[in-house]
Amino acid sequence: MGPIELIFLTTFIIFGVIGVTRGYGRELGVTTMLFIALFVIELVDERYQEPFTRLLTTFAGTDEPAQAAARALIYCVIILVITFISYEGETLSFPGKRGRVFFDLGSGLLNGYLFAGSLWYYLDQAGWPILKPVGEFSDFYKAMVNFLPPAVFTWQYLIALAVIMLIARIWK
Amino acid sequence: METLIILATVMALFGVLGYVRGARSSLLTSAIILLGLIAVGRAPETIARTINGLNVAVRFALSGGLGALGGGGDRAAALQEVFAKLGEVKPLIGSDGTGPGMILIFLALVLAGFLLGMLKPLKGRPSLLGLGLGLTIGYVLSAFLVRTFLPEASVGLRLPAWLFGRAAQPVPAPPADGTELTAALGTRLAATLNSLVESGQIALFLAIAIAAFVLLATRLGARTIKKG
Repeated sequence: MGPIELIFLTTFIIFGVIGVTRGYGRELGVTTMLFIALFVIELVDERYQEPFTRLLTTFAGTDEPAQAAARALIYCVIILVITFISYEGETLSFPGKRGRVFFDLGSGLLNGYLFAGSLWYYLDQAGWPILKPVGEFSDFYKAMVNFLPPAVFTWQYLIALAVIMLIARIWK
Repeated sequence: METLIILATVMALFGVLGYVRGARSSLLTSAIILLGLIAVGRAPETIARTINGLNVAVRFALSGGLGALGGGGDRAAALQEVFAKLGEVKPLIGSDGTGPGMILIFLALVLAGFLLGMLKPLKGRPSLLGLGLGLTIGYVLSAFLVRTFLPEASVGLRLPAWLFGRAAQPVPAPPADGTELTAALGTRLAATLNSLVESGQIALFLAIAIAAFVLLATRLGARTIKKG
């Protein structure tokens, strides 16, 4: 198996291509939903850790690695579901049509960063309960982990960004 | 070489945008960016104090400082706890006008200039005057970018000293060859990113970049819809 970061970098690039095909008006709607999803996760993680841990204990037991794995999987499932709904369903649509490659590609890559970066971070935090990597992590991996969305943004930043997205949506 | 690449890219970008947006819009955009850069060049200490102070204030608020100030009970103890949580806050900008915070200043200036330049009354037809203004402000901005991020560059971009003060002073001696300079650029970029992470300001930097991107994309999109 190759370096684990390759999977996420590929996902990141795929999101960029999706952005170019869908257009930034639709992509920014997904961005908003991802910001809100990450805000909820980070808020729960910081403010409601105790009740959440109690909840985890009921189905993952008291074993700390099992709890960490369960926590990471729950966060990943939330992100996956929100992303799936955002792409498949009717979501927020922003002013602007497909065709401005810089914005189309940029918004797609931003979604890729938020989606793949968050999954990467939560799985890394739990010690990779799935996709067990073999061998040492590369220097790139170690450097990148500091720049992943949940490592960078606290919930305050995430809610501020979600509000800015909504302002950008309604600003005539 | 890197200096010329930066210069060509920034001047071309600003020149094209200036031409497309017309003279009035470019005039306001250029004026805002120019005034900001003059302020950065002439009073780097004041800018540094203000930005560093704002940085401490934001981190104080994020560490629960406002709650400690407004909450009941022992305010002194609560504040002490907040300051302990806050720890040492590294300055974003040095008194000589260097440091990772300069990225934020350049970004904020360009964003403010372009957003205000999009106001409806400033809308105009493509013009050569706009092109000239764009090229001029592109040159000045390039000079500041090179000075801030590539102080070792062999090609310094001259600026009028009477206007820009200390920022117009010559840069230090260049390194021996281009390979060293490329390595220096890589090292500097890595050092800038690491210092942003260490100072805890990477979130602010990325948040501003994302907000700027979204606002630019949606404002340009809204303009297209109105035209259509």
